[in-house]
Amino acid sequence: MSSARSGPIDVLLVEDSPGDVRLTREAFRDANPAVNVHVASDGVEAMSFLRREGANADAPRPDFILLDLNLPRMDGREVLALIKDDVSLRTIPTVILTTSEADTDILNSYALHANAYLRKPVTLEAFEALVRSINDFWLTRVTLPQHSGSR
Amino acid sequence: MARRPRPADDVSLTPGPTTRTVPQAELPEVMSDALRRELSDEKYRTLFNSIDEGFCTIEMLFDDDDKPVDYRFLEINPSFERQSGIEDAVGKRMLEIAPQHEVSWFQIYGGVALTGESVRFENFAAQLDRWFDVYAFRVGKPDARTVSVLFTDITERKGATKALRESEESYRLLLDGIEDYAIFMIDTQGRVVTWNSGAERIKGYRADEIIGQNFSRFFPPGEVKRGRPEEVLRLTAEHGRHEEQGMRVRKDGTQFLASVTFSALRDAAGTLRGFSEFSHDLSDREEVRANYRKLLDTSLDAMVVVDNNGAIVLANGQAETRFGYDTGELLGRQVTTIVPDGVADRLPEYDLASPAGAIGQPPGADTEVIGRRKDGTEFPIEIMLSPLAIAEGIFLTAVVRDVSVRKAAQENLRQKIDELARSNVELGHFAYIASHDLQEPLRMVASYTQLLSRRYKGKLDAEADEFIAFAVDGASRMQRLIEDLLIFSRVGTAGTDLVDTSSDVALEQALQNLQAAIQDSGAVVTHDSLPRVTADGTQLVQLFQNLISNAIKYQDRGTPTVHVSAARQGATNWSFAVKDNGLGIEGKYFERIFGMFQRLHKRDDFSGTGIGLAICKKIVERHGGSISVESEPGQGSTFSFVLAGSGMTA
Repeated sequence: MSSARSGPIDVLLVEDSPGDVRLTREAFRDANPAVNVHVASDGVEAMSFLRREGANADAPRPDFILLDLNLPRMDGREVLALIKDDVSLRTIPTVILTTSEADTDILNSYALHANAYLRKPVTLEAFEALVRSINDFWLTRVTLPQHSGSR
Repeated sequence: MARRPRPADDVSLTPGPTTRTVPQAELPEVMSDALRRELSDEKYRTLFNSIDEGFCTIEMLFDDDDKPVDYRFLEINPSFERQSGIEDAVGKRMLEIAPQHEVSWFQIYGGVALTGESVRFENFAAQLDRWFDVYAFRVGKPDARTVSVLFTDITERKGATKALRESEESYRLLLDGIEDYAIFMIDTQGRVVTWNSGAERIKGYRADEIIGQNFSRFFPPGEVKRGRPEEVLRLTAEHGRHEEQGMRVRKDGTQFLASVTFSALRDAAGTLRGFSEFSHDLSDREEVRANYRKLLDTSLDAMVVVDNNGAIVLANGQAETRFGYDTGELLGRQVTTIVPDGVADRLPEYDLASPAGAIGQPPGADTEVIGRRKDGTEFPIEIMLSPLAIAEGIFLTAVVRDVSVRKAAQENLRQKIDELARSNVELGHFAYIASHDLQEPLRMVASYTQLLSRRYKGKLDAEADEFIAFAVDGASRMQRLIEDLLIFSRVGTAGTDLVDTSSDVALEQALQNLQAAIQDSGAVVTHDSLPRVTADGTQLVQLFQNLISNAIKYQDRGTPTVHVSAARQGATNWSFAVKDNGLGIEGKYFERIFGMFQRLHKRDDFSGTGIGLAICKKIVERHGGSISVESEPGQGSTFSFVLAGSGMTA
């Protein structure tokens, strides 16, 4: 069964750097115009979005989460732990995208069931290539369970 | 110098002529005038002809000053020739017969001739080589100056005496030569009989002052009162020998510590004939000790000498000063007073009972212990122990060095080293964190200038395009710089353990990382089979990658060719070589190229951060090896580095 996805793909980007947010948006726009990038600029916002709290009551359940580790208020490690501890959220592919190259971060992320750990490439080309491959793989080729909670 | 004892009969033993006037009353009857008159008579002539003694009548010869200068033989008896050894003497002058005949003979006979006083004497006639016992008396009228001489050859007796005398003389000289010891004899009553120069030097008496005096005067008055001198002689007589150390009194009343040995002198029959005393002034040693102490005082180190009970028997000025004691105050104290631990407990190590045991011990190694001052304060000391065997016994010398200053300096140095290490680590972290954090905003600058360039190139004016191009170039160069800085700082901070690593695999990985560069340049990279080494695999990849990347990059003619090889160096090491056909490097840059930010080329010709070889050097040095280059401009370069083999086969 090939990509039976029709309609928009919702990606939650948890990222506090507006520059990175914009770069990521740009890269996804180039890679796949069907992708909707939703942004949470810290861990609290991210959880609020995922749990559809308050203003996020109408938020979609994302198909994919790109999570930075170093965030204000609640950092990415905590967000990851909460997502993977939540039966309704844990099936959402959650990929770490960070500048951290610390071994402990890599190890801990996988221990918390991150689906992948990606380093933010330094150059624009490499960044764009990475976003393309995320689209190709996670948003195109991967088959995910149908979620009853999705609208 | 020496006054020596003179035997009572010394007069007869003196070699020179000695005369003794024979008092008139003692003259024998034969010498009376009456008899003398009858000498010419035949019967007396017969008598003199028959006696064994030599006899002659001589006429004394005087010079103008009435000094007797010779004599002439007038008559002799038959024994004369035998007794004197002179033949056909009659009518001859003595100096005709024996030209060297001693003047003393003439003086004696002249005296007899002039005074008429008879003499009896013994004298030696060198030219005749005989000793004579002589009786001379005047005969005839006084102005006739004729003397009759009755004599006996006593050479034989004298000869024996001479040998004895020589022996005695040697012995006396021997004893006299000994100045460090008083050697003398005492009779059974304690009177001094002989005296040598040593005795004079040590006790202060001349021989003539002390011979005949009782030896008890050498003892302090108290000892005399207690009867010690008599007791000493009694003990000596009883045991044959007696030794003691005690105070003795010099002539001037001063006292000194002496070591004295008495021996009983017995004749062949075993009868006690007297005593010999042999004594030595120990205060001389005190002086030596004082000098020794002076010597010790010049030492910068504190020194104490400890006996086998741990008591201090000698301490120099430094020891007293360091430990806060007054001069002499340490003597007799236990060494534990100043060095609570470290000496007393080690005394048993030194078998101080015997010289062999003590000397057999190796000198103690420097030991750091605590020293305690008189006021109770403590300070670090270093102590070196060594056994000392001297006449007085076996001791332990301790050289004590105050190491507070050194310890403080050491501590200071250690702190500085710690600080330096800490600051180095901090600096490493700082470099890492700084470059890491710089990377983030830079990524923004680089990415957005690139986006700008991509989206607006040709849409603005030419100047804008140029500006953007510079911004893009600067940002990307800075990115490479920071990336290399990160790699460089990670060599020290993020390295993994050095383990058995295949350098073949590392090279393959490096080549894979360089795939694009190799393809773009069309480089031909070959390599031998490479060994297993003890290394950080990631860093080894980086090392190959940097070297090969350089080899490909610094190239101006055609196809870059690179060859990687390895050769054994010594038993355990491998020397790797990365050889290229590139530009080559001038010899004066061989050192410099391994430094940080060192570049040999203009940026327009070859891009680079100037960090690549610094990274290589840091990696190799972290592995305990070294890196170097051999090259000539236009002849290519060979970079060599040495790594330790892992002992595994490839």
